[in-house]
Amino acid sequence: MAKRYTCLVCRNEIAHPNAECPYCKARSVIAEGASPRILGMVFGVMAGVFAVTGFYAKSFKAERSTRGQHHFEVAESLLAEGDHASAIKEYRNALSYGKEEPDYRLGLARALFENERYAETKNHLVDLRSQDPTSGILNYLLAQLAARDGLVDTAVSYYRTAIHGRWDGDTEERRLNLRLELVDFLQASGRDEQLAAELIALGEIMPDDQGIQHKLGALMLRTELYDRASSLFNSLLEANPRDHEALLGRGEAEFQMGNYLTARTQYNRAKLLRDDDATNERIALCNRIIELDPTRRGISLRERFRRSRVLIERARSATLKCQNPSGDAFVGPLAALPPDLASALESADKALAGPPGRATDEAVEANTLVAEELWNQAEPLCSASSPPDPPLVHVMAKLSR
Amino acid sequence: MNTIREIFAKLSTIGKSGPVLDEPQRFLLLSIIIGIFSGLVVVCFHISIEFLNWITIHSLSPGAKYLTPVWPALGGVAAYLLVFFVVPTARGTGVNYTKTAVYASDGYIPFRSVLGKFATCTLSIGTGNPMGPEDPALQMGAGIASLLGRIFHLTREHMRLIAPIGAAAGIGAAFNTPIAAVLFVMEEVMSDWNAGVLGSIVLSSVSAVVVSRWFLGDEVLYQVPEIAVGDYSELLLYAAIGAVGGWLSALFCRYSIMLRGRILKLRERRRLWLPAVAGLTVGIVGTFAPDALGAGYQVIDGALHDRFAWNVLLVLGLLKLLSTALCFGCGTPGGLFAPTLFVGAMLGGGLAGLAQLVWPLSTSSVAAYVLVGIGVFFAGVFRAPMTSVFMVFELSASYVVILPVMIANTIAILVSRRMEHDSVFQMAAYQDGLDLPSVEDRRETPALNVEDAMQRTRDLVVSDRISVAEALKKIESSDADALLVEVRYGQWRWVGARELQRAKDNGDADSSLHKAMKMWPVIRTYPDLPLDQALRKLAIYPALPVTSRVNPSFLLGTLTLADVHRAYGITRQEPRAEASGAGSSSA
Repeated sequence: MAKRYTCLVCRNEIAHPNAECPYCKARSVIAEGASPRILGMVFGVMAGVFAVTGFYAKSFKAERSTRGQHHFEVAESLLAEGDHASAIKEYRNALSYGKEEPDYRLGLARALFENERYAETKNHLVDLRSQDPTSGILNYLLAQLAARDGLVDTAVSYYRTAIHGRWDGDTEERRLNLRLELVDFLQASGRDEQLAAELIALGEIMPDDQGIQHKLGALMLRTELYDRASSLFNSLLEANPRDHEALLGRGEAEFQMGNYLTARTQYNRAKLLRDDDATNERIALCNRIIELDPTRRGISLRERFRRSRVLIERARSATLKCQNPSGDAFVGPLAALPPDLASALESADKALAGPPGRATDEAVEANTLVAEELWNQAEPLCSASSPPDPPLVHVMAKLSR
Repeated sequence: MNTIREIFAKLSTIGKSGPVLDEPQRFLLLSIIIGIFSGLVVVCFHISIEFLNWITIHSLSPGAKYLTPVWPALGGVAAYLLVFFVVPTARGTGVNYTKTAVYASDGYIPFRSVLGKFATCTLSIGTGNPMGPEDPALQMGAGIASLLGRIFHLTREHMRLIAPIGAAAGIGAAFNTPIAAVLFVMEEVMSDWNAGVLGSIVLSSVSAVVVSRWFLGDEVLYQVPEIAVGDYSELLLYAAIGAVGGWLSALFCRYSIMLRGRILKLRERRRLWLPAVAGLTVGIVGTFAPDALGAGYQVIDGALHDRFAWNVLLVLGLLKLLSTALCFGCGTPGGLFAPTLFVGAMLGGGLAGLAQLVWPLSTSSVAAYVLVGIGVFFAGVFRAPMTSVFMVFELSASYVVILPVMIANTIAILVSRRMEHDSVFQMAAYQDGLDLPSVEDRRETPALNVEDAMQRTRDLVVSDRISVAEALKKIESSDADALLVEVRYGQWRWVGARELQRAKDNGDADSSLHKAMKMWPVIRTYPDLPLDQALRKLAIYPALPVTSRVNPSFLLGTLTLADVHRAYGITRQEPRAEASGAGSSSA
């Protein structure tokens, strides 16, 4: 039976598939009841087009990758040479061949950062970080950007992620350097509490570099990590007993912890290496503190008793000086003073009145308590920057500890 | 195993005279096949453009930059010559071509036009002309769909629907945004939101995008950085961008169409060299501003990442605007989709930079403004509001910027529409002598409902207790041929004038209707139903009771064929006088 053909446009039956439709003049003629092989043919053609497209796409990707890599390499060398503007151009070219290639975008971000185009740098970095949040380099660059913008907390957060993030190559050294950089940043930002925390963490992985150790020791002193500073300087002295800086550092750490004898020893050793005014002043202060301290071991009970009375006298004298900053001794009635202070002064006067009694442990303790009570009342009145009696301040601080 | 055999058995019967898969099933299967084929062709198209771009514009050494204008000029003229001498069907915009196929030629698109679009647009876009590949991809998809529809022997009704399915696949694969592709086809090609073919359009679009990503990777067109939207007061800035974008888009439509019109008036032979002139001009511009060449996706990416200063963005946008208008007017093959996005991005970013200089409050990131600019200009030029919003959403994968985009796009459309009534595609269609429907036209001529035609009276309503004589008297006083009789709660009957006359002649004049007459049941209708549905019922019943949906016995009015005619303005009869009682319960 002859096949029927239909004009697609007007649906009239016509004689031949290649004929022009006599009704609407269209040439779109189809046969009704087509071959059952149509579907197979369609899928066959699809497979063919798929294969051709696959081959074409593969060649395209290979070429794109080659071109992108070429521009990337040129850009990397330009960046290394410091030609940031040209490097940016080349990175952009590389990126035009591989929009999603993270290395290209990261390179561009680095070059932009070097070229001080921070807004665009940040956009690229944030993009990349959303795809790879644990990348060390991305977080590090973002930390630098945040630090530059004065966003201390954000910067610290990025630094910490960078420290614990993923790095290629020498990971430990990078992490150490990052910690040191973070420490510098925290120091510059005046974040002493965070700095102390970072120094404690750094203490666990202390680098071998003595210069860095000196620096960290100084920072530990600044953040009042005296025991850690002392051990750090001690370890430095074990390596080099003639390390002047370490001697001074350890002396300071011991001094701040109230170990004035050890501190004096360290200062004296430092003085032997280099005799300077600052060291001499520190030694003199240590001597005066040691001479005043009634709790020092190895001195007789009588001497302790004497020192305890001296302590009361000097506390009284300092109190009166602090009460009247013009320098003249306080001459007014005690009732004019705050009640607690007046009471403490009265106790001090009573302890000093009459001849000194017998030197007993109880008497020493009682005197020390009177001196402490008086100083506690007086200390808030005294200027912290110019204390009236530095040895007294240190001895009282030691007693309160 | 049996299931697999059944599937093969079903598939093998496709195309036979008595298929196991019925037409809708075949249609869905075909949608996937169309998506795959379109995706494959668009991948090849994309690669071809890139390859040509590399060996022409990108191959120029820094010392040979003065040769830049040669390539767009050569590409433009070569493409135009190809259109002129070999594939005239590849002429014009893909959207209009596809719409013409849908509305004027039962979905027929010659496959030659697919090949023609592929070759000509590769030549023009690949050599740096500032046109986009999306619109040609749309036409290629539609052409492939049409071919497959013919091969699969679809009915005429389905053939009409097949082209938009391919169009969605083509644009989805080209732009890598399946949702925006679907919406664009619904708004621009189908011009109808109620299209029953939506499922097939989605299937084909998704299939095409999957194929495209399979071969080209998941790369989106732009890497959109993290977006931050500032204070709500900033919405004023977005609104201002919408207004400026709308104004500029209307100017773009007006002058590019005007230029096109003037050029179309020239003799065809003279027009041959105009794409070369346009390409040369574009090339000269590109020598000094290389970022203005080509589709410009990389430049938009740069704008999103705050690469350019605001004044550079505005200059680039302006250059692109002028060069696109020139190329479009001169007939350089290619689409307007990409240049529109480019101009919008530059406009949004440029105005954002300007705003940051003068705005006293904090401003959003530049990326937010660039995205808003993209949506604004797109909405203004194509008048596709839904696509413009969802496209931005798909590109940014973030809801953050949706509110500003919606506000700005709405304003852009209002401003643009105030200045130019039609979109650029409609204007081009009118210029080509085509009268194609648009969503806006359909919105302006809403469908009539029953409530627009019904009579809110009880003139045609009687009780079954009245006598035949009374009923006859009532029907004679109206212009109707039948009366509606409520027999029980919510149940209606009708009785005709002839039956009443016959009953009277038989001596039943004083008998009540329910005793003397055989009355025919009639179904209710509701005021919110389309008049088209009521009209189908009026083919069976002479009159319809219009009742409330919640209370069937509550009569709101009546509807006859004469009422429908009157609603459509077919008759000039005065409506029946309002009578008391309409709207009251008949119970």
